[in-house]
Amino acid sequence: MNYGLYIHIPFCVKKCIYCDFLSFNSCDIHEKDKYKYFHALEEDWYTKLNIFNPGDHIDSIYIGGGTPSLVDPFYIDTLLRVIKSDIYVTKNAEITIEVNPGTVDIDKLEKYVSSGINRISIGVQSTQDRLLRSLGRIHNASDCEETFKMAKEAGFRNISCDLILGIPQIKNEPGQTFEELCEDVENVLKWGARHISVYSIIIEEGTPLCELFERNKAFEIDDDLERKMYRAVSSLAKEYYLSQYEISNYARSDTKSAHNMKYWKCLPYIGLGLGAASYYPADKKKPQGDYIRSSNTRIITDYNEFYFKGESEIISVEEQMNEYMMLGFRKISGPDGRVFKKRFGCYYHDKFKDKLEMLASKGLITFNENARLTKKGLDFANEVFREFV
Amino acid sequence: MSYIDNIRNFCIIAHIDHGKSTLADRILEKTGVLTQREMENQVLDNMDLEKERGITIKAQSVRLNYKAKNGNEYVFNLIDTPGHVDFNYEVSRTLAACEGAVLVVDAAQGVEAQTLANVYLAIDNNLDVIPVINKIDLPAAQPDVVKKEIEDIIGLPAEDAPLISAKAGIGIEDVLEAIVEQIPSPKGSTESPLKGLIFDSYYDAYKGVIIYVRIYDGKVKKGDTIRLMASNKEYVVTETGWFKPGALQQADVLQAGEVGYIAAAIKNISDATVGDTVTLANNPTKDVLPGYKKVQPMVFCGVYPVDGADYEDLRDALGKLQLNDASLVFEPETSKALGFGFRCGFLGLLHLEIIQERLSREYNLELITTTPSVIYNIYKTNGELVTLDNPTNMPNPTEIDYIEEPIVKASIMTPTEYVGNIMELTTERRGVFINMDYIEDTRVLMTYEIPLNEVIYDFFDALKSRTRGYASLDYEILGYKKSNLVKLDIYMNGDIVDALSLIVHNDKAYTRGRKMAEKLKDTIPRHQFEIPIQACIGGKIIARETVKAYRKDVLAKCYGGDISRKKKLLEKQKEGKKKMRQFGSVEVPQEAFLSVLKLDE
Repeated sequence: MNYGLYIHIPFCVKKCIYCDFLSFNSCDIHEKDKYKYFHALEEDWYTKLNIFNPGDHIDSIYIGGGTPSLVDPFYIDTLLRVIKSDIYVTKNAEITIEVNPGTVDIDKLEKYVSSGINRISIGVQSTQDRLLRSLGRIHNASDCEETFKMAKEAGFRNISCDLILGIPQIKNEPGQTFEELCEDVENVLKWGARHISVYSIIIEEGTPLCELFERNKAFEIDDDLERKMYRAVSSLAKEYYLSQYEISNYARSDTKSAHNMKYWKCLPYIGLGLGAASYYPADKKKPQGDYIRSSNTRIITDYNEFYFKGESEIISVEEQMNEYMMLGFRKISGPDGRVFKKRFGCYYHDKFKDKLEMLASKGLITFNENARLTKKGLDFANEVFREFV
Repeated sequence: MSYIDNIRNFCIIAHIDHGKSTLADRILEKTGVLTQREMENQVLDNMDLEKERGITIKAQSVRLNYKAKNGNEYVFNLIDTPGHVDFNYEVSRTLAACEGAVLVVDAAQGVEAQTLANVYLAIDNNLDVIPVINKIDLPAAQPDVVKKEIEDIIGLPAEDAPLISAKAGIGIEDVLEAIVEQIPSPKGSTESPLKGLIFDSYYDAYKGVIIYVRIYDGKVKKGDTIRLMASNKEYVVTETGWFKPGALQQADVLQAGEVGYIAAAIKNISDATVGDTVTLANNPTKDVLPGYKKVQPMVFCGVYPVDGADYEDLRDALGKLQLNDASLVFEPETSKALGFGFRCGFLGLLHLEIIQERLSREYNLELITTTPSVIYNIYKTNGELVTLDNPTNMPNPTEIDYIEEPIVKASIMTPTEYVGNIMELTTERRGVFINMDYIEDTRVLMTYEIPLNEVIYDFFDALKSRTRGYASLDYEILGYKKSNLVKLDIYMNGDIVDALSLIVHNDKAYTRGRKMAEKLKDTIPRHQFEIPIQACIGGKIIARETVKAYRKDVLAKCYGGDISRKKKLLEKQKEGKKKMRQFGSVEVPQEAFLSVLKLDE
């Protein structure tokens, strides 16, 4: 069985106002504790080794955050070496690191290359200085372009950029305009991005941005404008031969994120680091049986002391089928019927006949070989997902 | 001395929170019925709801023995009365069972509107009232001011009123001695034909209805055939006895002057109604006790299960509550909007709330209740009179000659600084000013005539919020008055929502319609399409709001670590949707029905 591996680095220079990810302002964490954290990551890896069967491989690694590019590349290199010494990482495994403009230089990027990292994901978010400022980002637009150029120079071919769509009015700074969004997309494509992730902003509870909304200091942009932007991304991407392959992701056929595709295909993965989730067979001798989805503790002091255990749940075969649908529908091609049959022994067209027909009658999904979201379904995908929870 | 000379039948009357139940507990403790350790606080209020709200819903009764300072042994029958205007009739019957009343007044709060109402009821029933000033240990206590208030407002001598703290156990003996000294013993003869008053009842699964009686004349024992004179039904007595706290104690005979219970295998609580006279079938009394009334529900609303599958459970629960509450009426009703449910009648708003709460707490039912309505008299052009308690059934306006609505006399007691606010509120509620009495320099009693239908829409909440909780309210029904009323309908996405229809005064229809539409706009979630909400009278639209359509409902991100969390989020949304009511293609949450009841900001 092939596994994906996720490594979480929970440090940032400064947390952005919309972010609810597990990360800490770097200045709050002592260098010694960062060292400790990497030590704990290794220990975490050792405790999870027994999940694997002999002959299992890792075919994708994703170093995400937080801001992985903030820490000394040496830590990352060491960790990757440890992993490779314990398990076979396939030759053409996709190994991604997330970097944020303003935290990398050419030296760091070259070190990533020599560590075997072959894909880079840049947190651009916007190419408008005013919006970067209002989101609380630490960089400006030219830092983004600079980072991109350096990555190319260091030898990266497979570069992805993250953008945010629908940036709200924050205090007195007006929200994102249609033209700005188009410019953002075109900019990163012009720089040479082979993959883009464009996320509609989510106002997550407990974030400073959410609080601004509650105090009527932030206002969402018009719904219709937001959807117009969303649709524009798809057509702009097409001009650069990138096509939409997931609700928020666009790539060429050979530059889709292999690691992220594992999530949407319900394939197994191991997560290392604070709060990281793993998904694997409950009994390694029964890969067709129940799965476990467990996550590490979210408390960093515990994690650094090697108390890794967080929440954990059993995912029955029945639930796996539902998740397969829910996550599969995120892909533009929809959940794969043949793979479903191979894994669960039946066609989802039969298994979920009534639900699928109901959703089709509402115009949310359509069939050719696979079921998949319609144009309307892309806007109201939660209605489809809710049928499978 | 005959046994009857040593009996004292009394009740305690007080405003909510003035310490009635605490005093009752102390009396129980002092007379040795219960030790402090045995006592769960406030023994007489059995229901959780009673304890929580500090009100008494069902009357309770207890027989105590007290050895007085004069050396004699006395039998006390303490009858706890319900403490709210909704239960005025029950209160009056309970008072009729007593010779005296202990009036508890809070030393800090003074006399309140509701205290007044109950004291007057007591005085009307010829009771001797002993004022008692409670909570004298509070820093804010002003016993002398309160004494003067009692004398000035109620007209009772209060010079020697016991000063007590029921909570701290101060002065309880003074109260007991005052009961012996000041409350007369009952009069009556064991030789006369049996004459007893039913002042409460409850249903026991084994013994049938247990009736609470005060015997005026004669005696009754096991094996006698009794006749209930109002329902004109006869039963053979299976058991008689007295009340112990929380239990019954069998006694061979109940005789003149005593308070106790009778069990006679009575199946239906509506056959043994409060106020009825009990006598013996073979030797009936000639005079029926005065004051009997058949209680009529005043306020009606539809009660529907949130989940249609709970319909049967709701019916069972209502049936069980009715076993102990003859004033609750219900019959099946169907609403286009809400499906199958029941039209329920209540004595008043508190009664309605209590039943609602008990349904949800004791029977675990999630309910939607429709806008409460009063009973309207509709005089049709063809001379027919229709009594209407459900706005949905309002006849076509062309068939209506005129409509009458019930009017209440509302007594509001308030500190003077809120008089302006109250005038404003009562004017908004179509109140007609009758009278204003200065009770003292800083407090007034304002009397209004107000249509009941104005009182049942959050009037009490509005009154409290505009007087920072200081005003108290009491009301009684005066009668019916002709009024310019119209039916206000709510249309959602073009369909009428029958559960939201209500009858309202023409002058106020526009404001109410507009407010309802606004509230609904805020509580109805956005759909994939625009939802017009219209308030209409007849065919005429008087207010319109629109729930904007949403353009997207999609999780932008879902990766490994998110999956569990996102699933939970979707599950929660799914649960939320289940609780919504489908109106055509519009899903309406339960809160929408509640929100339109609270329009006063």
